[in-house]
Amino acid sequence: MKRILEVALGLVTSIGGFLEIGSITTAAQGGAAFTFQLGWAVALGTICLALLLEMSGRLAAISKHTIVDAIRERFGFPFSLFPSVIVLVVSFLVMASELGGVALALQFVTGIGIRWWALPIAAVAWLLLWKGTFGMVEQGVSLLGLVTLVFLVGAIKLHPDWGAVAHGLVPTMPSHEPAHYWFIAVSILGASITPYLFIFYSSGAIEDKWDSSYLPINRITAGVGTLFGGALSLMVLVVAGSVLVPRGIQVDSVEQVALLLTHVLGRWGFILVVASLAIGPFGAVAEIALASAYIAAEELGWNWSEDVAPRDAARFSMFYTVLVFLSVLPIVLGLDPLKLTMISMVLTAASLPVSVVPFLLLMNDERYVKEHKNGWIGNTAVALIVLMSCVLAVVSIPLQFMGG
Amino acid sequence: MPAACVARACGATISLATACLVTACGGPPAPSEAAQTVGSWGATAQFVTERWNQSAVSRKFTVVTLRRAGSELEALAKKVAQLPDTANGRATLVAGLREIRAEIAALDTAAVHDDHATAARIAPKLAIAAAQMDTLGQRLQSQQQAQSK
Repeated sequence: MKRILEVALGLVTSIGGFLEIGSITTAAQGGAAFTFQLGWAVALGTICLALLLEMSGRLAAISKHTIVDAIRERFGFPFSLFPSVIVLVVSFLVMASELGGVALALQFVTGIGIRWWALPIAAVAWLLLWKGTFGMVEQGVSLLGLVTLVFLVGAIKLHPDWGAVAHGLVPTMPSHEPAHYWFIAVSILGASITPYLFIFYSSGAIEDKWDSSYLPINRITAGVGTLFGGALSLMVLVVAGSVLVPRGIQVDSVEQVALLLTHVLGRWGFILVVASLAIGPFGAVAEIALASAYIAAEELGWNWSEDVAPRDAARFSMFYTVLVFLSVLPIVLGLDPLKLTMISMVLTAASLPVSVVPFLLLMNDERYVKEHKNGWIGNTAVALIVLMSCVLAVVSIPLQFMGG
Repeated sequence: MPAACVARACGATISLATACLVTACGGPPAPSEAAQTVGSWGATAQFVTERWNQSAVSRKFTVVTLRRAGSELEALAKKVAQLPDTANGRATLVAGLREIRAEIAALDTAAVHDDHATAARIAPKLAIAAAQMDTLGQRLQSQQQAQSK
């Protein structure tokens, strides 16, 4: 019974915690620019993430190591420092963009500018981390994040051409603006496959004291849960394609995203989308701060756990405290949250190889995963992911200059 | 070595991010792209006004969106001014941009004063102007693609 509840909670957490500012805005941009043609990017990003999450949970349950800890032990501290620093810097930019997303949602409701909201949001996120437990951070906000199911409801009520949606799941060449098409595809993939997610997942598995008996739960939560979450992201694309394309509206600001469901769901469409724009990114701010503290602590050998009092993991707690309040700066300095989001998603895509390659090697090392090594399907999938991420890393930055 | 490693990693990432940010704020866009962006913001302003008149969105959000549209088009107008006089479609683009900015400013005033009647009168004109800009953008894009072949 306990395990059934854990599976149910894990699924709900995966669904409710999936959408954040990056996945919402990139999917909306894709739908507004190319209707359903970029559905394949959402699907591919989701599948990649599901595979990587399952692997990170498996690594933690069997080896009793987090990803960062295992990379440090296996490859040595100087080697492991490089990917950790890259992930930390990129994650900081993502965190700032998420904080900007929450601030925008509050501006939409109150009319008060985002610069005034940045610090209070950071303070609330910090309070959650300081006073809360891992479960509260992971599951509490994700349960509230179930409000994002409004995109599924809206998509169904819009009666799109589901055949065209299905057709969009197969990669096709764009009919116009190829540079812009591939730029948005890269952004969608970067929004889905963010390294902080699978690093957070492996640290969480250690926090929850997973062992080999949790492998089935891991498979369901990481696999099925993520696929459901990705389906929500696809629904954002479908809604944007159905609502904005006929009106000739591109997504150049988050205000345009807030309008997506006002026609089909009226006032509640506005309220629930704005709530989605606030809750999802807020959860992401807390998760990224925690994930970054996990990276630093595991890399440098500090005590760490979200389930102990801050004084018992002082450097870990101080790290996320400093990070949360530093993330206010880009917004206070006037950087546009949507531009910051797009740039951070592209940089995420560019940084994927440095975190995925060592991870793949670990998943084939019997010293860490014993008889639970990757099979040929897992290895092939990850090898393709690494190849794809290398190609993205090469093309994404020039595309930023051409299509962004 | 670890310190050097950290410095290299940070430097590389920050340089890339800075390059992206600078480029995102770069020079004049192509006329086709500018026309479609003008049309998009005009359509956004019309959409939010229509929703406000039907009580689907709040007046505060309407004002925020209209002001956002106004500031984006103001920034775009400065970039469009840098286009050469001989640029294809420039005159029509500049005239359309001026008209749409004026309509949005009028809508902003109406929203601030909670004047639904004035907003309802302006919104259809804005929809027409936005659609004309979108059509211009698509025509210029087709011409561009034909020329590049």
